[in-house]
Amino acid sequence: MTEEDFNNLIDQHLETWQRTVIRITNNADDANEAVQQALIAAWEKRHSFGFRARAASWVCRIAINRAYNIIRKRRRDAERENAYAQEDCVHEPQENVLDKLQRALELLPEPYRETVAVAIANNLSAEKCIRILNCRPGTFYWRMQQAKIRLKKIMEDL
Amino acid sequence: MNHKTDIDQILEAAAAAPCNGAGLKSAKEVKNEFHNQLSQVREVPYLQYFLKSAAIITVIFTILFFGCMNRKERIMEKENYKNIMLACFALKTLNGDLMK
Repeated sequence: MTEEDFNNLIDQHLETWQRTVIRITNNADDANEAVQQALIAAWEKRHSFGFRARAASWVCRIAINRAYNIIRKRRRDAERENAYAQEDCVHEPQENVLDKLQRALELLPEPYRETVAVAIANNLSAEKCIRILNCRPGTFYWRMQQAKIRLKKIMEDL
Repeated sequence: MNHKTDIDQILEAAAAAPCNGAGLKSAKEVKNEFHNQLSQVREVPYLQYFLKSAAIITVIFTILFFGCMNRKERIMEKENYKNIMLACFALKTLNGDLMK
């Protein structure tokens, strides 16, 4: 893949990547960072990746992993300083249902969280999600079902 | 009949909502950043990897070589000891026969 191919890929899929990653990080700067790191990682490994048609899914997958790395690092830093990020604890008194969903997403275990994030970013298209998550259809549907059950419970408790 | 649950509707609303991340970079910014980073990405130092591998292989083979040599010497010493003992035994037998 050439730089031109990467430019086209960015033009076509950047929004989907950002929409996916921001559901995981809940922070625009971290989402930008994850996408940027994913692009560089994809560029470095471009020779080992032959299927251009699946490059967008591949970059998205890398971006999700980088997003997890970033939030884990943040969590570790916060624990080290013995103070969780205060901005995460302060919420608007009248938050809408989508903000509540975002907060509930943060409390979901990682596999469910990324499944929901990818689903939302791809307009709940199972086919695209399965390709990005690189899992079996049964696994995707099962995770979505479990995620919905958990989300419902978490959102009721919030 | 609508079987959709509340959570389905919330997820659909989230999927339909515009990206809520104010501060997300535009495609142009991402591309600029990407190309800036590319210029900083170092090429893979294949020669360095090759020299390191060669050095490691040489050390391993040297150790194996001296190990084998040492073992060979020990085997030869054992063989020599056996031959000397046999010679002593033969001399002793011969001496016994002569004394008769």
